[in-house]
Amino acid sequence: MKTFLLLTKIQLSSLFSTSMARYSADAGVKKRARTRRILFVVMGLTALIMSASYSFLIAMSLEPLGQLYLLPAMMALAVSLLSFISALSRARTVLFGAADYDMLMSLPLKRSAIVASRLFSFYSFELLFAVLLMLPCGLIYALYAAPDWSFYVLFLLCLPLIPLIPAAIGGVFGTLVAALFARSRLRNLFNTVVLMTLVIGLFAASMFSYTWIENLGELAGGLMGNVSPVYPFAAWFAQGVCLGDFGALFAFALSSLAAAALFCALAGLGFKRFNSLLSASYSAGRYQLKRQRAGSQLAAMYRKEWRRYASIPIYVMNTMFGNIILVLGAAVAVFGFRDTVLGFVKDYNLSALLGPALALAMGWFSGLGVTTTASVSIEGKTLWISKQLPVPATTWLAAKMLVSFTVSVPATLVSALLLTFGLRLSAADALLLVFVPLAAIFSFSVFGLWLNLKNHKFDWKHETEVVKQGTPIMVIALGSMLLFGLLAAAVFLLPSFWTLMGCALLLLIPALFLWRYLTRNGERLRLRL
Amino acid sequence: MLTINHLSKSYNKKVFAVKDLSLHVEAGDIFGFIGQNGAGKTTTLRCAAGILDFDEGEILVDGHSIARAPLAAKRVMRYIPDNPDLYEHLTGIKHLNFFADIYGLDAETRTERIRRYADAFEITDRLGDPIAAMSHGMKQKIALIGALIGAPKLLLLDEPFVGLDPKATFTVKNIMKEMTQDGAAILFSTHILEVAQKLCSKVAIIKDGKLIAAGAMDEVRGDSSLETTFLELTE
Repeated sequence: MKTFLLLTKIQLSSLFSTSMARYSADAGVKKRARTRRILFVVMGLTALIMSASYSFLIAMSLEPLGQLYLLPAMMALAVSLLSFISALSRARTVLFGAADYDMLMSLPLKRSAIVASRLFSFYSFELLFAVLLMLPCGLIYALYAAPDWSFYVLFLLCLPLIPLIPAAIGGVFGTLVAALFARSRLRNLFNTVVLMTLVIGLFAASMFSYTWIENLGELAGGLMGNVSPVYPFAAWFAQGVCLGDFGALFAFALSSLAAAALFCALAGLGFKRFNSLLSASYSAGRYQLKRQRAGSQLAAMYRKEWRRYASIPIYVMNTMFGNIILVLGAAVAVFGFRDTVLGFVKDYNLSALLGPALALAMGWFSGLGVTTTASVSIEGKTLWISKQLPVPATTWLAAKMLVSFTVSVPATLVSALLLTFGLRLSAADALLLVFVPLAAIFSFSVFGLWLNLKNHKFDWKHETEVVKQGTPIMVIALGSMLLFGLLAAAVFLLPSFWTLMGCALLLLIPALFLWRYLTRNGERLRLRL
Repeated sequence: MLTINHLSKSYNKKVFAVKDLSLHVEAGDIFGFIGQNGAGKTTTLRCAAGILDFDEGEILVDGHSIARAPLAAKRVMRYIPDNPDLYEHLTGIKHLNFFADIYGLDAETRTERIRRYADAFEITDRLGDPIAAMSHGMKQKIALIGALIGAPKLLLLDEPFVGLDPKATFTVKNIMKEMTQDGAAILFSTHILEVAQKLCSKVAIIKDGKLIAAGAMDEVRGDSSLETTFLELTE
C-alpha cells in the first residue's frame, strides 16, 4: 500500500508539476508550475459552470415531462463517451511505455504496486471528468426533484463508478491497437488512423443517436428506451440513483466493478509483455548508403517538425479531429441536408447570418486545431539540438507555424469550397469562409507559439502531459470559446460582412505584431528556454 | 578559437555554477576539462555552445561573440552533450541528413562524409534503423557523426567516451588528433584522467565553479600523474 501511494504521488506530481513548483531554484520554473496549476483550476471551474448550464437547460425541458431522471442518464452517457475517447488515446503512453518503466521494474518493488499506481493515475483523469460533469448535474437534479437523502448517498457512491467501464474498454482498445502495430515501421501512422476512425465513428454515431434531443416533448416516455440500447449502464445508473431501482443499481455497480477488475487483471498479467512489445522498435535490416539529397534549412526543420508531430497519435488526434469534423460536417450539410439547411435559412430569414455564422464556426474549429501550443514543449530533452545548431530562431519558429498551417489550412479550404458551392453562398460569404478561418489559424498559431515559449514543460515522461494537458492548450481552448462567443454576439447584433471582416482583422493585426515580436526576439527567447 | 573571459553563471542569483572563469583554447589544442561532479564543467560547455545564457563575462568563438552573434559562432562550432538525446522518431540516416541540411552541405559532400565516419564507426549498415531502436553507444556515434560531417573548427564534447565501445573510443581519439592537426580545436570534459593525460595538449581543472589550474598538460601535472595532481588540487 505504501509503495502504491508513493508511486501514485510521484506520477500525479509530475502531471501537476508540484515538485518543480516546490523545489526548483529557478523562479521561472516555479512560476510556470504555479500558472499551470491555476489554469487547471480555471479549466475545472469552467467545466463545472458549463455542465451546470447544460444540466439546467436540459432539466428545464425534462421537468414538465416528469422525466427529470433522464438528466443524470444523459450526463453519465456524455461522461462515458469522453472517458472512452480519453482512455483510448492515453492507454499507450500512460499505462504502458512511460519513460520510468525501466527504472521502476529494476527496483525491488512489487509489480502489482507499479501496475496499480499506473492504473490509478490512468483512472484519476477519467474520474476528474466524471466529477466535473456529474456534480453540477446532480445538484441541478436535486434542486428540481428534491429527492430524499438516499439520492445523495447513492449518487456520491456511484459517481466514481461511471468512468470505469468506458475507461476499461478504451484502455483495452487503445492497448490492442498499439500492440497490433508495435513492430511495424508505420506503427504511429496506423495507430493514429485506427484511433481517429474509432473516435470519429463514435462521435458520428452519438450525433445520430442524439437526434431525439430535438423532440424531447414527443419522445418523453421513450427516451430511456433510446438511451438503454446505446449504453445501458447510463440508464441503470439513473434508474438506480434517481428512481430507487435497486436491481438497476446493483447491475450498474456490478458491471462497473467487474469491468474494472477484469481490466486490472489483464493489465497486471500483460504489463511486462506489453511494455516490452511497445518499447521494441523495428530494425530496417542492412542499410545501403546511396547518394543523399540536399535540402534547405527551412525544409529540414519543417520535415523534422512534421515527422515529430506525425509520430504522436494523440497529438494528431487532438489537432486533426476538429478539422476532420469540419470537412465531414460541411460534406454532410451539403450532400445530406442541403435542402433542410436552405429551407431553415429561408423560413427564419437568416440569409444574412448564414455566411458569417458558418465562417465563425469554421474559424473556431480551425483555430482549435493549431499545433503550436505544444510544439516547443514537445522538443523535450532534444531541445539542445535546436539551440546548438546554426539555425536562426525565425526558421525554427517558422517551421512550427508551417506544421500548424499544414494541419488546418487544407481542411478550411475544402470546407469553404464545399459550403460555398453546395449552399450557393455569395462571393462575400465565400470570402468570409476563407478569410476568417485563415485569420484564426494564423492568430491562434502565433498566440499558441508565444504561450508555449512562455509556458513550457520539457521534463515530461509521456507526450500526453504537454499535448493534452499543457497550459497553452488550456488557455487556447478557454480563450477561443470566449473570443468566438464575443464575435458571435457582435455578428448577431450587427449582421454584416464588414462586422465579421473587421473582427477578423482585429484578430489578425495583433497576431502579426506578435509574430514580428517573436521573430525579432526569437534568439533571446530560445536561449532562455 | 575559443576565448572565455570572466564567465559567471548562477541559478536564481544565489547558487553560482561557474564563477569568474577564464579559458583560452587555441587552434590545434585538444583541451581537457576536468573536475568533480557538479564542479561546473557542463555549465561552462553549455554556455560556450550557446545553449545556456550567462550572467557575466564574454565568450568568443573564432572571434564571434556567442551572445551578440550566436549564429556566426554556431556555424563554426559543434557541441555534443554527455547523454545526447536525439530525435527518436527519425532514422539514423534521416538524422544525419537533417544535420547536413542545417550545415548546408551539398549532396556529394554529405554522402562522402557520412560514409567516411559511418564506416569508421562501423554503423553504416545500421543507418536505416530508427534512433529509438539504437543503444546509447550507437546514439553517441550518430551524434558524433552529425557533428563531424559539418567539419567544425571547434568541437565541444561533454564526456565523449561514455558509452562507446573500445574500438569506437580509439576511432574518436584518432579523429580528434586528425582534426586538431588540420587546425581545429577541441575542448572536452572527462572523468577518465588517463585518457586526458595521453590525449590532451592542455588541461583545465575546475572546482566549485572556479578554475584552479589551466595550461599545458606537462606544466599542470609536473612530474606527477594527472590523477595525483587532480586529487591534490581538489582536496
